[in-house]
Amino acid sequence: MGSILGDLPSFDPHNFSQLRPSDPSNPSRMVPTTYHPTHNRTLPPPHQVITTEVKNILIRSFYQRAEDKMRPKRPASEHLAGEHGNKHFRASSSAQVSDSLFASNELTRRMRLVGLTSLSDIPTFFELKWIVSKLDPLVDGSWQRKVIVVVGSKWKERNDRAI
Amino acid sequence: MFSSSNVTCRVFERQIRSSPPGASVNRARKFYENLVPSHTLYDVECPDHCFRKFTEDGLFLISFSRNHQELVVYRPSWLTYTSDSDDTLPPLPRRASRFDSFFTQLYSVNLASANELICKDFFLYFPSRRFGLFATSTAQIHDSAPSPGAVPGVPSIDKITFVLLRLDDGVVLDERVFLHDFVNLAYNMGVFMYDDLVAILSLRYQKIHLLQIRDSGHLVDARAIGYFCREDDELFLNSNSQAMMMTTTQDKNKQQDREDDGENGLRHTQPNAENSFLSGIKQRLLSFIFREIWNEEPDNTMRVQSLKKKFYFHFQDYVDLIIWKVQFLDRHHLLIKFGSVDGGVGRNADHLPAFFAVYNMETTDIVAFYQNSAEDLYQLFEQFSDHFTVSSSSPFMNFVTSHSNSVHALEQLKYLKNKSNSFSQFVKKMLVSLPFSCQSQSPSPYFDQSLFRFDEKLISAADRHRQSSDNPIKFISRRKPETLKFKIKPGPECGSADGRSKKICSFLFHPHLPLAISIQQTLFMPPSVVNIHFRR
Repeated sequence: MGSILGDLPSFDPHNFSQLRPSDPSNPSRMVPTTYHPTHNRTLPPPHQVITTEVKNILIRSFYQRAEDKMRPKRPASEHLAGEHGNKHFRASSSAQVSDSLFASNELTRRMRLVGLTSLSDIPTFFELKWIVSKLDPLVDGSWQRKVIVVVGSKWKERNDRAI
Repeated sequence: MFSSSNVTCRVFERQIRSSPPGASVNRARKFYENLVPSHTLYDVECPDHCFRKFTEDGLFLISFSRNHQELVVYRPSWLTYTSDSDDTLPPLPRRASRFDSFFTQLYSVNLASANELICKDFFLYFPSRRFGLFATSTAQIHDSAPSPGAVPGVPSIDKITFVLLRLDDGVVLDERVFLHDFVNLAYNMGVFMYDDLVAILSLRYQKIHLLQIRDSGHLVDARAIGYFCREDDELFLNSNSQAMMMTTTQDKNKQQDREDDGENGLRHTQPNAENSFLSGIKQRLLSFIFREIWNEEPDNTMRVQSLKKKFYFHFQDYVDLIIWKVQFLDRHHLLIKFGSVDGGVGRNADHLPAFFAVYNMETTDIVAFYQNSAEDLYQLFEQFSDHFTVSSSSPFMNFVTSHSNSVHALEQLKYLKNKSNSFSQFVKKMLVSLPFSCQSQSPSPYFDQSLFRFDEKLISAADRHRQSSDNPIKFISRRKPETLKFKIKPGPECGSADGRSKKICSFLFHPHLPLAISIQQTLFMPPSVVNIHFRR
């Protein structure tokens, strides 16, 4: 009965050479399968020293919040991946734009998950019922969110003005 | 962590199994569920002193004489006796109900001279060298004459002396005197100790004096933050003002004036009425508020509008703020509470607006500024409350229950939050306790909320007087089955005959022995009833 931990590979073929199997009728392999890493991307940087951060977590959060406040609001074209999740849900004008961008990324992500490559594919995929939203850029540079309701093989597009 | 609640089984289990990583102190504290101070000796004959507290390593009991001029230090020992009876619980000898069976007096030192009194609510302990910091003061004068640099409206005390004493033998090591100043001494409110640094807030002159306690026992002045933020600011401004005075008198071309003004320039280190500079820390604060409001708006016209509304409209209010309380957050950061002049001294300042600022002493920058209703600050307070109640070296102090390290305390906090009608009122109420007073919580494991459940209104880790009730205070185990582990009854054994007089009681728990003292006194009558609770 091989154990679940019995046949794991190792990076050095000489490891486990002293191991004697407890059951002599069932000799397990003496030399483990040897794996070598093909890249060195996971090696730590040379001369790396890991130390404890001197500032405790409370003071770090004070500095972090101060930095977030001091940084002037960035335009919508830049990527907004704030550490605080609540940044996405604030009701200020710049955050609305970021929210819409987030939604459109979410839309494309969901479509890719189910194998859709463009919006025109939706009518053929009739097993799903979900509400997705897409964005239409308007002439004046702002965004308008549209809600697409997919029910069976039919899909309807409705304007959603309540951003 | 233990599979059984029997103490013998637990001892055996401790031999075999090690505790979960990082939880060795928690596991050791589980034994306090078995060893409880269940026996009470009522009305022990003891000398008539005001007992203040046990030091946090449990080596000394600090008390002051009734006339508040002498310090009396006791060593907690344990009652020892022999008995030849065969009972499992032999009867206690007659001398058990005497104070000196449990405590031996080490020495009695006179700290205060004729017209001074020891502040009996003030005591700070420096554990690594076993030094104690005490304070003596003369009487408070409420309507004192205004002096240059003093905030009007703050009372003045002629002489406050901080005394550093070695507790092993009672030798006075060093003193620091403040003349015509005011430091809030009640319950360590105006002084904060972090490792070897002591911050003393002088309310009258709005200065934070930083002293360092050296190993030799000397109190060394490190810094004074207030008018000047860096150590060499004073030198720089003096040399500048001297140069300016030299040039103005050269313009007037009068020999005598130059000599006079030169002398005055050397002596004037404090701001006088003609000097219109704001103090250094106030300037840092105002510039931080300005920059914060400036960075909120991207548009220039909106910026100016916003500044007008939020900053210039309240400018005089910001200038009139005074420092109320200070605490260390770590060796370089201070949490400073600002408020208006009215609430600096009194304790009923909860309804007045207050502000919190985090100040970095090395870079002399303000890092953060919040109003006392700020939800951001409340979130940090809820999550990281332990880091606000910093303590340095003693391992027990890190395990004092707070709502950041105990689910039970957090549940109570959430219950209060849901019960309150207005969230901002709740935030204000919670943030009143910031900045925390130093060494104000008892490290006794009997106050650990994960071990025992008790009524917080009747008894808690904070060393304040409480209303006494005739019913005993129950400590119920948190572990299932939730049985009553022990009771503390602060009153006399048969209940008080006179039920009408208001009684207050205070509890002193030894940090690691199952020993506690409860002192019950009526408000105006001096003799107090002292009970000793211990494990028999």
